Amino acid sequence: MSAPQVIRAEGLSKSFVVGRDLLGRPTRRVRAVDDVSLSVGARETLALVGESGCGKSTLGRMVMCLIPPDHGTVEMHGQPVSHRSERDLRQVRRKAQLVFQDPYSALNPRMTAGQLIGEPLMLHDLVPRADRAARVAELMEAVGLAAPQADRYPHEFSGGQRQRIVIARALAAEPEIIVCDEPVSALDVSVQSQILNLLVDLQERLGLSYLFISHDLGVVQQMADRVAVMYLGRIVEIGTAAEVLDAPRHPYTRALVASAPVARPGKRRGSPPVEGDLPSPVAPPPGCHFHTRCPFAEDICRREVPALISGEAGGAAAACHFRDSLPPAEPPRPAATPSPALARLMTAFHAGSVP
Amino acid sequence: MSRIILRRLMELVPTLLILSVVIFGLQRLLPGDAALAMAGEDATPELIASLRAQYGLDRPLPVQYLDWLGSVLQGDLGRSLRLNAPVGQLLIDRLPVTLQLALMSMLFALAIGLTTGVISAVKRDTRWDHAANVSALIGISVPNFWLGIMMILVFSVGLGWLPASGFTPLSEGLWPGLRSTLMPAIVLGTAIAAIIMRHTRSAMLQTLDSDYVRTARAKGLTERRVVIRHAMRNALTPVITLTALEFGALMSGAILTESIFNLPGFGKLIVDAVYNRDYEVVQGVVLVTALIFVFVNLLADIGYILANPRLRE
Amino acid sequence: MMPRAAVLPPPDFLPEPDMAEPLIEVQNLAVDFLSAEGPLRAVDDVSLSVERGRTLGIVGESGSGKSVTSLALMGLLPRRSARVSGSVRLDGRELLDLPETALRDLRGDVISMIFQEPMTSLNPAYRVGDQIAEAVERHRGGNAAAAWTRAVEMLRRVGVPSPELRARDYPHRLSGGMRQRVMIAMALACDPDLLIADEPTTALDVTIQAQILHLMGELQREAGTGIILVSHDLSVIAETCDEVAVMYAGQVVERAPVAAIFEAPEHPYTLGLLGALPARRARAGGARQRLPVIPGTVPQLHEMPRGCRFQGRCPFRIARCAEPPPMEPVGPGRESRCWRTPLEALAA
Ligand SMILES: Nc1ncnc2c1ncn2[C@@H]1O[C@H](COP(=O)(O)OP(=O)(O)OP(=O)(O)O)[C@@H](O)[C@H]1O
Ligand SMILES: Nc1ncnc2c1ncn2[C@@H]1O[C@H](COP(=O)(O)OP(=O)(O)OP(=O)(O)O)[C@@H](O)[C@H]1O
Ligand code: SF4
Ligand code: SF4
Ligand SMILES: [Mg+2]
Ligand SMILES: [Mg+2]
Repeated sequence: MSAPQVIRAEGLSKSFVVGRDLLGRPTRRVRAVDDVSLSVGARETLALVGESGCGKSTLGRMVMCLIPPDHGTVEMHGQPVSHRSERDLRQVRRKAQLVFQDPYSALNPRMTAGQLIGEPLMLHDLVPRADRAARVAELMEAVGLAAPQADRYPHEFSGGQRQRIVIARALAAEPEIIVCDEPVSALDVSVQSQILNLLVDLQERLGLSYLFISHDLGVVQQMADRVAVMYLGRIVEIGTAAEVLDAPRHPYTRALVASAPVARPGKRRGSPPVEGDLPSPVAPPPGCHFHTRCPFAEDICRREVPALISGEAGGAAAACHFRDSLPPAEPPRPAATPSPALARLMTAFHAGSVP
Repeated sequence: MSRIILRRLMELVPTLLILSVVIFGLQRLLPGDAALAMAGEDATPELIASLRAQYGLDRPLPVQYLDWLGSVLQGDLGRSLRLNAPVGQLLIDRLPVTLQLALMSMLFALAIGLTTGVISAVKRDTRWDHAANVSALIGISVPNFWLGIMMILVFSVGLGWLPASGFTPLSEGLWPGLRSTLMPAIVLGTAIAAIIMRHTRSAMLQTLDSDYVRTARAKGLTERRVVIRHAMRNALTPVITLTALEFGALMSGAILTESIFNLPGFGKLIVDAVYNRDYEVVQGVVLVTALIFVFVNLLADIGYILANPRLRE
Repeated sequence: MMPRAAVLPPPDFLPEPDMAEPLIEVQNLAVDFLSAEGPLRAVDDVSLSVERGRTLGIVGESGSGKSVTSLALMGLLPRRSARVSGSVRLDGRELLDLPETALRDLRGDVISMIFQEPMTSLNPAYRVGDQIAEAVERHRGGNAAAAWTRAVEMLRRVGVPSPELRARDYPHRLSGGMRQRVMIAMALACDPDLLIADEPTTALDVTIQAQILHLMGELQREAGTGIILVSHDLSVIAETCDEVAVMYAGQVVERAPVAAIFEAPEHPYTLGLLGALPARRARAGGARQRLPVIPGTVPQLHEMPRGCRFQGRCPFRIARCAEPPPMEPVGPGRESRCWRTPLEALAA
């Protein structure tokens, strides 16, 4: 990876004040993101997974320079972005676009689909006024909407179609990277796969990069080149999708992978992969944040923060003191493989035409 | 929890200060001052000037303000120049009348507003609900003076059940005392009852649709228990806060109502005082009224905090 | 129906529930919502059954009628706007004919329910212990202290740490997973025969989901409770259920033992759902495969086609599909609503 990364973030931290005393001085803070570095290359998808409240959205917004970090820097194509330069920020906010979870609240209900998609063209002055309508039609077709639907309002579209509008709107700014914050969580499986396919197609056609935030490992498996796992504001493991999902190193990643239900009939026995709740992000446990739930925790884990580095054998970087000495992870339960007859039937179904 | 109440009390200090500046300032911004009023139409400029000096009206405004604030804090609200009596005494004489009227009408408004609100939410879209909604609309739109006059015509002139005017202090007997403000209280409370009813209805509709009410029903509780214990408890706490805000409307409505029924309360006092540019009295009435308003809202806020486990910590 | 015993039981003696008979048997359940444009049929011709100690999964997309079906079984649909018809027999008793008061006695006692939203399903104004105790007092009587003790015991059973203390907490102090445990404790406090869990883990993280599903399985094994587990997630269904009912646009379109659903689905919609599961696609040699999709979207209630409701999206459609297909047996213990079963023939 010698070419500069599309986006590179170094040592990002962000805390939010969540409690104040009588005089309005902050007393309690949430460390939403704590010293996180990552980078996304051209045409690459980096997935960010982790439980609710672990800081995924905050990190995504910092990477896009939508909110300023307390510490740390963001570079785009090797150029540092200054939060004090209006020009830098404008530039980043065009080249990095956000698609988020709720296709219902993301769209102004009083604007038509065409106006919504055309707005970034106008804001960033990308296309001459005369050509805008044509460009909007082109974008709508790119995301699988019919151009005549441009005059309709958001409530006249289904959830999946609304998410297409959101994506078309992001594409209008001609971005290089799209931060997808749980883009399909609110959608049904059958619609979910339509949107995921669209994102993959667009990536191939337009050479986009994605920072793909999701808590659904199935979706991540489908989309990601590399995966970063977050726990309480820190990345605990980062590596290629195969490394992280098929042979997780960090005990938390293992728990996550083992907890995900698998489409294979048969009741699970035995105790759940991890006990206990996510600790409060206001007062995270010292040392390794995971030690309160980790089956391998020892004294050192309560005292020292483990570094995020690869083990002796290389591979994914894991923030665990025992990354080299843990027993090998149990292989994840595979989903049921369809019988040849079922596979043929599925192919027939998805081919779309059957005698 | 006491920290939160303490904090709420501390927030009161700036409110009260601003309030005092506004009350003092408004007074001084009005055209014509007390000296002019006292001296009469054709007084010489010298007389006016000497009166001004005598009452300190020629000093810079901030000095006058601090002076005024100082005496107010000591309980001295000045003297009514016209009635030639201490303002404090005038207020104390009139306060029971207005307080009795206000409390009775608030009780009336709460009793009617809460019950009809709850019933019409529980019986949503039935005849009960429609009837309650129409009544509320009428209650809000009927002018006080018209309602007052109609009630006098029916209950005093026609049926002779209640006195048409005048005030009997409670010290002369509970029933005669209450009777004398019953009609005014109803007149004053009607519009507020209607407003409370609407708040209550919409808050109840919302809680009745909530997930935890569904949970309560899934436990097999009787509908009565679901409504009273699970829905009302949560719906009514915000209604109480809104009601406290209506107390302002109630105090200003009292002015008109007191004149209709000829009750010797704050309303009559302030109307006369404004008429005669009796500044000290106007100031005193406004100040006490505002303090009552602030106090009622403080109580409502504290009640809200007490009723809300999330806010208690 | 079982043949009648030769000797009739005395009139005020209910027959002992027969273990071979299902705990709950739903037949031709339909729910209409009254609307300005006339009645809208949200649930149509739904038949299900659950045996003691077994779990039935109901799976389907958003709006397919899973929650309406569950609420109908509980008798919790708004009486004003919902018309329920068909038959729901619990232990041989017809629930749809019961007066509200009798139904209330069953609710929370013989049949209970947990809901999707742990964050809003508990009353914010009361301590969680009181909310559990309330159910116990309602159905078991006894004094408040005994009910409280039972509440604490239930919290311990569902794995809430230091239950004596937690029982005194208000819901906002608890995490989503803890609240869902409280909901389960409340639902199971009176040892119900049937538990309906409507997406009990959808709002939770996967590690917590695994804990909650595990807990439900444990408690079921201890008490022999019948469970109806509603979910839109086929993977969750696969790991927890014995039988599955697949719902589409208000109807059950396929009903089968869980293994059969995954091995040989007998309805094209089930087939499409299985294909669209993201987890199934392993990445072959780095190239990203496209996920198979079910084209189109679910028809709205007011524009339901007359024939098969899946016809607009079904590649197996034939002329006959314009007629409504009946739900018919397609193998041991399974039924499907499709003119073209057995589907196997189509793969040849
Ligand atoms: N504006 C804010 N003010 C205060 N706290 C915040 C703010 N935004 C986020 N937080 C807190 O920071 C932490 C991380 O939040 P974030 O939204 O980044 O999490 P997430 O991983 O995206 O979670 P989810 O999966 O629920 O979307 C949480 O504890 C959250 O409560
Ligand atoms: N009270 C109601 N009045 C009118 N229509 C209703 C009512 N409740 C539900 N519906 C309609 O009935 C249909 C089925 O809804 P239901 O809530 O059962 O879906 P679901 O399968 O549970 O979906 P989800 O996965 O989104 O929870 C929907 O079209 C819904 O709009
Ligand atoms: S550092 Fe210790 S507590 Fe943390 S994950 Fe590794 S073994 Fe577990
Ligand atoms: S009945 Fe026809 S349209 Fe319906 S699922 Fe079967 S083949 Fe498809
Ligand atoms: Mg988020
Ligand atoms: Mg539902």
